[in-house]
Amino acid sequence: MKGKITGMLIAAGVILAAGAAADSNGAADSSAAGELPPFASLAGRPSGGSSDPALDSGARVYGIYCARCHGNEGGGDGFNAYNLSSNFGVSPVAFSDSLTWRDLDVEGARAAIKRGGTAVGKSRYMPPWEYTLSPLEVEDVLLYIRSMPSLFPE
Amino acid sequence: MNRGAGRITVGVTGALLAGGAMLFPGVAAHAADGAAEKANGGPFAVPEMVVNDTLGIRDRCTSCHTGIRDPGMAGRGQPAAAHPGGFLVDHRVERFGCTPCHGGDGTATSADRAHGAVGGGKPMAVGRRVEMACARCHADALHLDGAPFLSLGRRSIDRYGCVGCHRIGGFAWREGKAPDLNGFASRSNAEWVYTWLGDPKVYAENARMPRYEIDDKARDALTGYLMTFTEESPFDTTAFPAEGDFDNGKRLFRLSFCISCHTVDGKGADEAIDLGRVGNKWNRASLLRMISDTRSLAPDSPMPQYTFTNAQVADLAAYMMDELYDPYFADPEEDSTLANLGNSWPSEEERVDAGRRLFKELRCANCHSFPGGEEWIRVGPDLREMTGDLLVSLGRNEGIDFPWSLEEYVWRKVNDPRGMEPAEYRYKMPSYDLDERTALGISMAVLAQMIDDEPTAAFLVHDREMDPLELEGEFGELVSRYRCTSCHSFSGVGHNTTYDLGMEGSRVQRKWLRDYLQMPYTIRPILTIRMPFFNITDEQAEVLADGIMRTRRDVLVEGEGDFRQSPARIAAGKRLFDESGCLACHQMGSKGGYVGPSFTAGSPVGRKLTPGWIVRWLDDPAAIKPEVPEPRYGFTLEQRRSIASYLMSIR
Ligand code: HEC
Repeated sequence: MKGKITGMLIAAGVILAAGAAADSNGAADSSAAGELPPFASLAGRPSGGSSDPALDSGARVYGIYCARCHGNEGGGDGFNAYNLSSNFGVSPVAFSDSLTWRDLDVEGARAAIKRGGTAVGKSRYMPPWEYTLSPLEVEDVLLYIRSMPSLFPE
Repeated sequence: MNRGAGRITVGVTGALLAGGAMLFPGVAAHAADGAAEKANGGPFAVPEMVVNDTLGIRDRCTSCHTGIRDPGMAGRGQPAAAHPGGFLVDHRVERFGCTPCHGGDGTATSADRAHGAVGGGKPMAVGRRVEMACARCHADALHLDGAPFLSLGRRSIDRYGCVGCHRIGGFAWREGKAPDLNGFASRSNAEWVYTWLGDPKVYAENARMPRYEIDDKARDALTGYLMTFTEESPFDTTAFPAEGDFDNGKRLFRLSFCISCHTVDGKGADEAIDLGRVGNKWNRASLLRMISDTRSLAPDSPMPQYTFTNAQVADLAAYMMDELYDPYFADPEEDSTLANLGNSWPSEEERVDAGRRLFKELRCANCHSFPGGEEWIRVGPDLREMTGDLLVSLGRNEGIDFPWSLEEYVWRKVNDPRGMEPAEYRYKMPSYDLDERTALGISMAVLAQMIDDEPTAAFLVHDREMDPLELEGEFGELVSRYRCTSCHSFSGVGHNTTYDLGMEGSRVQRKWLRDYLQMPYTIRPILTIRMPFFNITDEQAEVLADGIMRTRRDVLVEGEGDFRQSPARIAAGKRLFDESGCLACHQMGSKGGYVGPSFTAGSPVGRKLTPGWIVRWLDDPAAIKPEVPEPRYGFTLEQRRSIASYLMSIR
């Protein structure tokens, strides 16, 4: 019995190492089983372009709920952005601009996504999403918008 | 990258799983071994195991993948990372474990074995491949959230009519759905059909018909044969004015929102064939007939039967024959083959005979009806029965040595149907010239239905409503005439490209509905798909409005409207409306966003919606319309009543 559980721990170490290796490659590919490259490599979403499921999920959430204001590629230029700037003088943040992330930290962004612009002293025209998205989806979309400077460099 | 390392040694007790076990009989968490070990002073890691006897699951995966349910572990390295997306909400780990979707060996006690890298177990599915497992339970859904490729593949199989030749799991077995060729020669012309047969995509980018690689002479023969399909009693056009008004036709074409389904030169909703060159394909008489008596040419088509006057039909035809005509397409003056059609054959008789044989050989009748139509014979293999072994023996029978796995074979075959076998077999499957995503989707959908380890019947989810909507009487006839279900569903039955009408009678006011049917205006400016102007008569509008008001009610929604729209509530509602930033997406007067409907344009919201529906909608928009971009605000009942009172006061 004891031997079995020690085995488990070693196994866990193996996976950890594997996980770390996959991470440093930037993508967990399926080369072990993967005789068919397109299945593993083709991007799930046109905007995502990754094979990381968390990033894919973030791209999906972003595409449904955020893109119309923040822009398909995070340029702050969704089709609804003009209405916000011309009527209310606010512009959706441009996530693909790396300068954005100098002023905006992850905690602040998370709070704004969950409880809306007013929760962080910003505009009420940034809606709250905590009752719409699951906590995981919030993290996925956060990961996605943080990756936008590298996904969509200017 | 070792952020998760500490978590592994923290014991996971069975408590979490025991909770699941109570909810789902047959699911038990076996933590007993671990507990005993702990009592003996063993190491801390208690292996966790999900057991579901009905599905035959024994998964230890969560022993190492400790963070899958923990939002704090989103995007972390494996094995501690949270599971992405919302999948685990509907597919609780406590019930389903991991292997039904991801494969691998759930009982294994080493990572390599669990992941199927060693030990001869099923290899674990990662990346796109996971989607194929969805099909195990979701046997026939055309769309599944979170499975974009499988969904695309299933929709494409439906669109291209693969079932015309193959039997495919999850799809009804029937003839492919292509236009009826009876009377074809009286509608079209030889130049067009010869060009079309060469490559349908040259005529229309979104053509569904595949490309048959036949030589020019064969193509000429088929053309000759098709041009013998003349109409016995041609369509009588004398009831229509000889000349139509181009400008009015143009206006009607726009108002009718033909491009809610069709494309024109690639622009539009891409549900139906491009009309950019329809004037090259059809003559005026057939356009008049198609628009005025749609069902006589397309009995089963999703296209609505509009209610135009004969003069309006003539105007539309005048516009289409002129504007949707390309003088350089299939032009005999440009292309000498077209000028010499038929000349490569010694006699017309031989040409037509050869065409008839080809028509049979290529199995055109598997999708098209034609004069003297013969029995429909399925020619392609039954894809439900394909296996790697079968592929090998198939190859052996035909003297071919396929060097590919089943997966790779399917992927190649879908991409290049004719490049796979020796020349003598190649005529069998035509080329679809698919883009990479669609080809991948179809391959995945085909492979998915070949997976032989089926779930127990109890877990099969039938998402596709096979029964057509049955609505009684005059109302039912009109719903069918206008093909409402090509775009709307009624409580889930029908296509839903826009709004489900299941509670429409409780959602809107009768007068608004009646007026809107006759003169629809743009509710959501950003959509390509628009409610067309059908020229619905007064009488028809009354019948439709009555029918919806009579049959599409929801007492619970109406009950929610049972409150007083007091001045105090109206004032509170206005405050909430302003503070919540509703104007970011909705317009009020000249101010606001473009995402949701305007509250003033077209019709003021207080004359359109019902208070009960607003209260219900604001509770959880996505519960009514999945993936609607409107956030759920978490308003209290009183807040929702206030907002509803305010909106109802805008009249
Ligand atoms: C209706 C338009 C709209 C939508 C939809 C929208 N946003 Fe915003 N968002 C804004 C505006 C406007 C701002 C800028 C607020 C300001 O500067 O006062 C903003 C700002 C932000 C900020 C920065 C907050 C800060 O502290 O500066 C984040 C992060 C953000 N949005 C994330 C999201 C995400 C994620 C989604 C989708 C789930 C989303 N937004 C959807 C309009 C929108």
